Amino acid sequence: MVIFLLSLFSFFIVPYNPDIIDLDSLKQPPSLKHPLGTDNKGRDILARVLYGGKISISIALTAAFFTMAIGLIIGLLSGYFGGKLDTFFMSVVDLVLAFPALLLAIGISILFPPGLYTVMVALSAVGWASFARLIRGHVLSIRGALFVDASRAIGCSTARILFVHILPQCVPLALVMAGLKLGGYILTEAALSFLGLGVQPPTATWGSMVSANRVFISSSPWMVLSPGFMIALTALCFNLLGDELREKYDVEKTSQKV
Amino acid sequence: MKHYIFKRLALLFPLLLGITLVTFAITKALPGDPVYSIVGERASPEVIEKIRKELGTERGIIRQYIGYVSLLLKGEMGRSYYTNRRVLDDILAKLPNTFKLAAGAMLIAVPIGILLGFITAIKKNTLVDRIISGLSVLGMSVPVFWSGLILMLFFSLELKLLPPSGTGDIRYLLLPAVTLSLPAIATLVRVTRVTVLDIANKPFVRTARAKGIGKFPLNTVHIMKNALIPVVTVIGLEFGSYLNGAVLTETIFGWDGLGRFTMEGILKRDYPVIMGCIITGTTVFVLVNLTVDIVYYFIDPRVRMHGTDR
Amino acid sequence: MKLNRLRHFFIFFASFSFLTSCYSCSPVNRPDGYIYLRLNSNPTTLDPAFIVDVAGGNISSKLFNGLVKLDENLSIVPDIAESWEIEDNGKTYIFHLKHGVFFTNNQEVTSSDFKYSFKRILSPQNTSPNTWVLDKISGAKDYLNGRAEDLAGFEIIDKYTFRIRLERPFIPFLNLLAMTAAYVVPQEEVERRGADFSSSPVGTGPFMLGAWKHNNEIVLARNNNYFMDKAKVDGIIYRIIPEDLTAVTEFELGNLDVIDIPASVYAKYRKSSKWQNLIESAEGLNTYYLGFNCSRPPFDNSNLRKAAAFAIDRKKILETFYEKRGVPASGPVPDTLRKWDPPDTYEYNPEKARRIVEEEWMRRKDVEFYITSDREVADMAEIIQFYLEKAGFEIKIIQLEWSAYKSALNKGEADMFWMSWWADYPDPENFLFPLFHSSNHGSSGNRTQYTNREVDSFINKGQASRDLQERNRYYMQAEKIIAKESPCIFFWHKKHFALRQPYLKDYRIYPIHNMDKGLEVFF
Repeated sequence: MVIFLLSLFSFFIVPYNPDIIDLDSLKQPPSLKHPLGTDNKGRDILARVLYGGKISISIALTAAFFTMAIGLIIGLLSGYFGGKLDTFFMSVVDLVLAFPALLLAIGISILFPPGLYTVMVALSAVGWASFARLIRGHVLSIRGALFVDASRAIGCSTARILFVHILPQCVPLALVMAGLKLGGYILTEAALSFLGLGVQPPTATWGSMVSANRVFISSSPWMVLSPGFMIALTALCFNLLGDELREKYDVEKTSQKV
Repeated sequence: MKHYIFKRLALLFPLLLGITLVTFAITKALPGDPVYSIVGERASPEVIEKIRKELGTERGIIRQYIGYVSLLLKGEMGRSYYTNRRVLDDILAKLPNTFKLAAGAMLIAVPIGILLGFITAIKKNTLVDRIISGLSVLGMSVPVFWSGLILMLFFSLELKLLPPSGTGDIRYLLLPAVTLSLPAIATLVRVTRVTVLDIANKPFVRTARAKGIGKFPLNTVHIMKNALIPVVTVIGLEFGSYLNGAVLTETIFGWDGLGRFTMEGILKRDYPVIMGCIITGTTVFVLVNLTVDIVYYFIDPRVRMHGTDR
Repeated sequence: MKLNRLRHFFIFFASFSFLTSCYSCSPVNRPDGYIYLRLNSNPTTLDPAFIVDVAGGNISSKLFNGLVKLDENLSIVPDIAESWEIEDNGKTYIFHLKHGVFFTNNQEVTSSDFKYSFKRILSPQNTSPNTWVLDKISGAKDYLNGRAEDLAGFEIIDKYTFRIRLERPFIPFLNLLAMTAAYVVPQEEVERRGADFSSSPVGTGPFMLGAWKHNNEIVLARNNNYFMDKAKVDGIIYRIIPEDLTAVTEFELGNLDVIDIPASVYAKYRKSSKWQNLIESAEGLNTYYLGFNCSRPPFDNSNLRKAAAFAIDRKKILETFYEKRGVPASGPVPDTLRKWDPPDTYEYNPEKARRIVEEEWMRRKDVEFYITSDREVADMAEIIQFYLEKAGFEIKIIQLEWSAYKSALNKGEADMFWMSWWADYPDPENFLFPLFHSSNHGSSGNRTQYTNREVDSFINKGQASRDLQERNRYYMQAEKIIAKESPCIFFWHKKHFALRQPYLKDYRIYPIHNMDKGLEVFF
């Protein structure tokens, strides 16, 4: 799996510049010259898919990392300590969740000039809340568990309980959620591009290729199929990666216990 | 219990106030001015000034906010800058449609999602697991406008079974609801799978298994019940966000819901519409999540124990 | 295990049968005699005083009438006015109304209704954005500012006759009167309904509003008491469908009778033997252009604007990317309206472009190219960027959604922008005065901030000249200077394309949106 991702990154030897427009070869179906065809401005789709991949994946990974980090910390604190802290955090979470994600993203992108980093910030800002809520629910259900009581009884510090005992319990869930969300981030980026708040043209991203070319889905399907396929494939990889990490983690945990 | 619900409800008001404040700040900070869209392509500066005055957007921002909150307290949401219709009326007309769509999607997603997730967990690492897991990832990563269009082309254009667009009875509802349910199914499958797997390794399950409890009661009573918490959380989140409107699905299928209404409001900087929609959406969302928390109480005694002494 | 599986299957089938339970239902059943059309957005209002969008103008033309209207040759013909006289060298108009024209609430249209309707546009209490349509009437400005109690230039002579005096001669005035904003509305109904008049309008038109399900559909029913030839269809149903592909699907299923062909499927229908003969087209009264900000560097330098014009192969773009969906433009004025020789344009010459850029582009910094988030516009922008960068410019595309884009343009924040101008009425003046007269900077239409005293004076003279030959000479001179100084690069005049069902007869496309009263079409 990891190998596949690496190969994806290293595969940047492309015959065409992704932004070169060739008005003499518009909407050409896949051929030897253009393995994945060309779009409605005569740009080579293979080149765009490859270049777009770099940007899409880095956006998704960055956003996923930040959402996970923020979500884990807040969910952990909120679920474990409960009380006023919980009320406060969950109010903030409710506030963020209740906002239509796009409006929030629009609001954020005003603070920064449109572009790559703004998209990352916007995605993270929208995504962390549902994470926090999910983790909190999980912490709620395990904080009363025997092993937590036990560690408290033998005098573990709160920090130790939180980060050594409870956090690992939440990581599998978080990883799976993150894996799931990655594809979603790529797509949200598409929605932002659609509103003119995403990565600015002519830079290619998978999301923007899928959303911009969707109108050709019946007449020239190759324009949308390849970036769409790449999104699905990448999401699949990240999921399997998440699963594997989780399993590895489980094994370690069990062996420790024994 | 009662105390808890009451407390949560009481919290709703400061939350709403916070929401109005944040929304107000964001909408006002948005670049772009509604006046330019109202006046069209040819308008003199005098007319623009006049309309600004009429809309009250030239007043100080704090005065505008106070004005809006006092309007809200009177149970009013003002009139749209463009259509001059009462925002409250429009929202009340669209809310049932949005609810229908969200409920329809959840009705499809919840049984299928939980069931498939459960199957993948039990059949862990078999071919069945791989296929369903793979499909669920696909469900996550296929954009709604794709799956929607494909469903439409197939069921409407090819089979001529369902109308492609419009707002109305169940025939109109089916396609958008199925479209909307796909990502929810995918999320549910994954979350159910991972929680069930987690719980299946727990000592109490091992004990139960050791005691010789049959596989079926073990699966349903012991594991399922314990796996429900994260699953219910996800259901609440998805349902809540659908109630805030599903812009893309509504756009593709011409469904007259809150999502499109909000989006148009945002794009045209129709401040009263934006405010009204977000306040409505937030309230609904918070209520749904309150319900979810209450459900926690019933399905998980541990939460009950810890929750009541707060 | 077995039990378990059985249970799974049971639940699975239960949910599946829920999904499939409606397979037997038939698609939409539609009433006979109604024609189905598509709108891509909900019109904001149907009150003529406030309409600025195409959808609203389109529908209101079927609900209301004005004094005059445009016929198929784009000339002015009587509508509610029986006849008129122009006196005082084009300063005074006397209108005689037809007798027996009734609003659908059965009240007769009289001079005072027109006065009320016109005053309503200009009233200081009202916030109509369309004041510019009628502010040429003498005393209009005073009334508008609240300095006068009455609209002095509008004099009622009797029940069916009135006189309108203008501040100074303005030749396209009759054209203005054919516009949506000059439609007549019934005073009683407007006052009774207040703000709700915009969603439940009452007029004199060939149709009346049956139902308006916002964001869903608008039903118009035939007005059987219409004062001229009645419509041939029983009614019109507008379905509001935002997504193009959805509309195409609806059309192919026969749930829509006519659609405007979305660009993405144009080639497909052009090639299809089943549909190509059902494509109706008409030249559009519009101009698509690339505008420059002439008030600041770099494009205050007209040589650089020329360089950009040399750099872009417009003909090629029109023929390939744009699939010949337009007519090449040589100046702002569409060929249909231009009664003189077209001005010279700058032909594609990348060498020359590169040379000029090299010599003239002083303080190098990215050119900020503002566009809307529309997909086709983004495509165009990428192509333009490609050509200009080949010539040596450095272009940064800034995509904003519509509201923000418009504010930015009106404030002159863009170096370069992509826009189109659609005619309000068929007169060259409508393509020259708002876009290039220096009194219209910003929101009034001149977004390039172009200023040229000579052009101003030619346009002013043209507006006041009663002699057609002379007028055309003025406009020609203005256009010539504009084409030479190139504050914009004019790309093309987009054509209208509509696709109709074979059973629909005599469906016509009109170059201006409010010309179609829906009278001819039948099954």
